[in-house]
Formats: sequence, C-alpha cells, structure tokens
Amino acid sequence: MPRSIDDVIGQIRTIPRSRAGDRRLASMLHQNAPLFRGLSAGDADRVRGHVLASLESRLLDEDAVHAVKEELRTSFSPVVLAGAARAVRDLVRVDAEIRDLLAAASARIAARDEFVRLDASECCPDRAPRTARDEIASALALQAILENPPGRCCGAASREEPDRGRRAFSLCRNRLGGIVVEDQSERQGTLLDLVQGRTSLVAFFYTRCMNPAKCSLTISRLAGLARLASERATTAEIGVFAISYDPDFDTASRLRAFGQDRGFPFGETARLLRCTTGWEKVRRAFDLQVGYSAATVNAHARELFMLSDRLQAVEVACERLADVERLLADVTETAKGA
Amino acid sequence: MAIEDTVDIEELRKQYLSEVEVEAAAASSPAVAPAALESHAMAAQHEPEAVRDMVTALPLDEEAYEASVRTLLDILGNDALDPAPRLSALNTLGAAEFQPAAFAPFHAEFIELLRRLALHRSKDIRTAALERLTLTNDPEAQRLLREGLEKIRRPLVTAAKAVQLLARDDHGSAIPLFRRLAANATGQVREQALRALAVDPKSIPLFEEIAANKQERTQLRQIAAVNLKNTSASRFAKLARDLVLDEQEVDKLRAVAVSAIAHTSDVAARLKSPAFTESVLALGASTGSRALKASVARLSKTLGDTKA
Repeated sequence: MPRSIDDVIGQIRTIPRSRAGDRRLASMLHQNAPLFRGLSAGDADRVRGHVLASLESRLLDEDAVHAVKEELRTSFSPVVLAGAARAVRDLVRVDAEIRDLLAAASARIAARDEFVRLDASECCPDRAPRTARDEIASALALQAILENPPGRCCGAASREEPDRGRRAFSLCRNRLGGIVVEDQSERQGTLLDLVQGRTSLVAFFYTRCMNPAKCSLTISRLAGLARLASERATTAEIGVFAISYDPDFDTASRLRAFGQDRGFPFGETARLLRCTTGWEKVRRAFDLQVGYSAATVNAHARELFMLSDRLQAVEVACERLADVERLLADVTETAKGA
Repeated sequence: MAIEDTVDIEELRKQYLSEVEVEAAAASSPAVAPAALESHAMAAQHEPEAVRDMVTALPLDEEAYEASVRTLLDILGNDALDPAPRLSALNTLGAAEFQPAAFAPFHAEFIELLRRLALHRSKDIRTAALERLTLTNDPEAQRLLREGLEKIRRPLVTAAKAVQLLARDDHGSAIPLFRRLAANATGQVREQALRALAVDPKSIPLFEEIAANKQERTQLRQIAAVNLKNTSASRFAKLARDLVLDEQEVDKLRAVAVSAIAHTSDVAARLKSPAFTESVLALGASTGSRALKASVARLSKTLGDTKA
C-alpha cells in the first residue's frame, strides 16, 4: 500500500526524546532502512532530511556522527544538508571537522539552494521557512564562526577519515559460490572464483548515480589505485573490483562505458561487475547500505571493502581512496600478514 | 506546441524562425532599465506587449544583473499581469540562470516561486513552471504530476505532457506508473509512457509483445522495438530478424529494424550468417521503399565488416 510521505515524516517527528528514541532515529540513517523502501530518490532525500533534523539536540553515537559527516561531505541535496546542519548544531563547538564540512557543503549547494521546511525543532514552531544554506549558516553562527572563518571555502574537507572500527566479518564460501557476476566484457563466473586466493578491494557503485561526489568519484579513484597496483610486481595480483548496486540496468556495455570514461584499467584483476544471480545474497553478505525505489537506487552510502585471500572482509572508509599510495601500502601489508 | 498534435516539421520550422526573429529584434533594441520596466509593469494601464518587449530587452550584464533578476522575479510572480509578459520573464530568467554564481542568491526564491506557479490558474504558466522544475528533478513538481496521473488531484497538464515531464527523472520515480500506462492507456499517453520506459529492463516482455503485434500502431511498435534494442541486444536480435524476414511486415518497421542492426555491432554480430545476409540483400533489391533500400545498404556494409 503506498505510503504518504507526510505520514512517514509525521512518524519521525513523534519519536520520543529518550535513549531508545535516539537509537531508533539513528538506525533510520541507514540507507537500507525499511523507511526508504519504494520511495523515489527525491522523497528518500526529503525523509532523510527530516530524520537528520530530528536528531537535533539528541545524543549521537559514533556511527550517527559518521553518517551525518558523510552526508555533509557528499550530499548535493539541500534538504539533506539542512537536516544534517541541524543534527550537528551541538557539535559545531567542539568539532573543527564538522565546521569545515558545513562550510564546504554550503559552498557546494550555492547554485542550487532551496527553501526547506523541516519544522523539527520543538523550540520554535513558528520558525519561518529557511533555505538550506541559511540552516547551515545558522549552525555555524552558533559558534561565531563568521568571526573566525575556517581555512577552506569550498570542496570537500581533506581531513582523513579513519576506518573507525568499521565492520569486519567473514564471507561464507558457499554463499559466494552461488553468486554469479558478469564483468564489463560479459565474462561470467562466481564471485567466489573472483576473490578467493587473492587480496581484493571491492567497491560498490551504479552508473546512474547523479552525485559526482559518490560513484563517479569512487570509480575514478579506484581506477587510479588499480593502475598503481598493476605497475608493481608486489601488488599486481591484488584484485580491484567494483560491483553495481543496479545490476539489471548496468549491463556489460554500460559498465564498460562508465569505466572507460573514468580511465579504469580493465584487466584480469581490475573489473567492473554486475550480479546476474544472487544479488540479494551480496546485499546481505556485505550488509550493503543501499535502498531502492520501484525502478532503481534511491539512496546509498559509499562502500569499500578489503577482502583477504581467506575471505575475511573489513570495511574501508571510501575517503581513503583519496590517497591511493597509502591505501595500497596498507592493503599490501594486510596481504603479507594474512 | 501541444504534445497531442502531430508535429508538422514545416510548422515547427516557421515557429522557430519567428521566435528567432523576435529575439533578434529584441537584441537590437536598446537596453531597458530594470526600474523603468518595473514601473511600467506596475502601472494600472500597462500594455502587456510592451511589458513583454521590455522584459526581452532587459540587460543581464554584470552591472545590471542583480536589479534585472529582481525585476524579472517580481514580474514572474505578479498575478496582476497577463501570462505573456510573465512567461517572457521566465524565459529571460532561464538565460540569467546561465550565470550560476550570480544567480545563486536568487535560486531558492526562484524555485519557491515556480512551485507556487505550478498550481497557477493559467495553464500556460503552470506548464512553463512544471517544465522548468522537472528539468532539475524537483520532487515537488514530480509529486504534483504523479498525483495528476493517478487521479489523486486535478491534473495540472495533459496526461501525455505529465508523462513527458516525469520521464525527465533519470531515477525513474514514475516508472511503475509508466509501465501501467504503456500497457493500458491509449493514444498519446500510451506512446509517451512507452517512450519513458526506454531503458527499463523490467519492461522487456512488454516491448517484445508490442513490437511483434501487427494489430498495434506502427509508431508504437517502432518505439517498442527501439526500447528493446536499448535494454536487451539478444532479444532485440531475435525480434529484428523476424521483422526483417517477414515479407508481410510494413516497410517502415523493417527499415527501423535493418537500421538498428546496422548501428548496433552487438546485434549485427549475433545475426551475421550467409543466409541472413542473402535475405537482406534480396530485400534491398525487391523493396520499393527508399528508406528501406538505404538501410539495407548500410546493413550490408556492416555485415561485411562484422567478424563472424
């Protein structure tokens, strides 16, 4: 039964201010949360903006703070960024990275700013509609940032995002054996055959992603890493793979074109893939943070994993692709230690 | 031009030339001061055509930009004015948007105004506002259009136009609706819905069914065939082969199939065989259709170039 977005937002607003309520709201930041199922990308953004705004003045755990920072780092949606700005109002004082990210986000949407109606604050029911940049400026103004502006005015903050106790798990050999993938040249095989016996980096993306700070950037950076890996004897066997979130749409020819446009050095150990059998198993195995509308992806995180030759997986912060030399060195170290 | 009309290319050419003429005349007329336009537009006895001409002559250079955009927004939002000068203001604002950094301070207000105008009593203004909003996937405009098609609210534009505007969304938020309309609607609405499904992998069976059904309109079958080519080369290859070899099939559709094979190396490679090449050459020799002959000539070359 179709849900009214206003009803969904109404439910978000009624979540009580308690530890349990805070945890429930934070769980709604996951892109694969049931809340987003079937929504269009625009509606998913709107709901996400309200979830974020409802976190204002609540206790945020480390995962929630990370999720909010990731939105500030990558989102182009005014409503999402306005919500994120409200979520971190209490942290602006103590977290310089948040201040930088807010300033960068404001610059990013300068030419696409919109009025947003979050109305999540119980303190000011008569608060007039504000633009997303007004919301961000308001968060920054709390700390008199205007008198002490951050060093950067635009672009993503360069501060490194550590892997901060990210997910580590074992992949099931039997399950991977039942997953069939096809690469950009229409070569098919099981995911198990592709990753077992070698250390691999596996990213997720889709070619219809409209956010230049997400899939396009991830594949461009992954291409740089794959090129570097192939140039050295010690890293030439490392697998560099990216799997589509949108396997029905992302046919081999689309994967090939997307990779070529981003200089991806296709080869035995560097491939863009789509799942032809067992996509749901892949989603579950990696606990992928992706949600779907009736036609395609409506929200997703940036996701990168390092897989050992024995199928031990650990999530890696996508921001680490900004320094491929260092990431490759870490992958090599891990491979040696395995 | 209304979407329901069959496009007359000669009419379209005349319309375009006339628009170019108006633009050229406006460009050669002296620049209008934003304040002068504002005061003329606000006068009780204003002449709509004069306001429209002044809007077109408003300068958008660095010096006048801010004042001009302010005036344009005021005119666009002024319900006391006729639609013509307001639509002209919307066009000029479109030009102003080409300077995104300068336009940035006005962007939020512009979008807010367009969302209001999407519900305006004038159909022309509503349509123009929705046209502009859907260019950037505005979720509010998409919701209004979707609700009109689902009969939740009174439609703001014709159903075919709504489908066309919703189809601009790369993320296909209305794809399930398009699937229903492509299967069950009639006329232009069905045609637009089918076009909107151009890359929908879940509609492959529908494309096959429509393209192969001789009871369907040729135009519709043509769209379905092209959609199938976009979504499944292997299944299109089978369809295209059947269309090309069926002597009872209409020439127009056979020409489309032959041309699509010629331009899609994947499909050509799947179909290449001496028997198929021979059939294609025989078709070229026997047909009276110039379009089909030309397509066959292209395909013959492709089949010659394609490795078996």
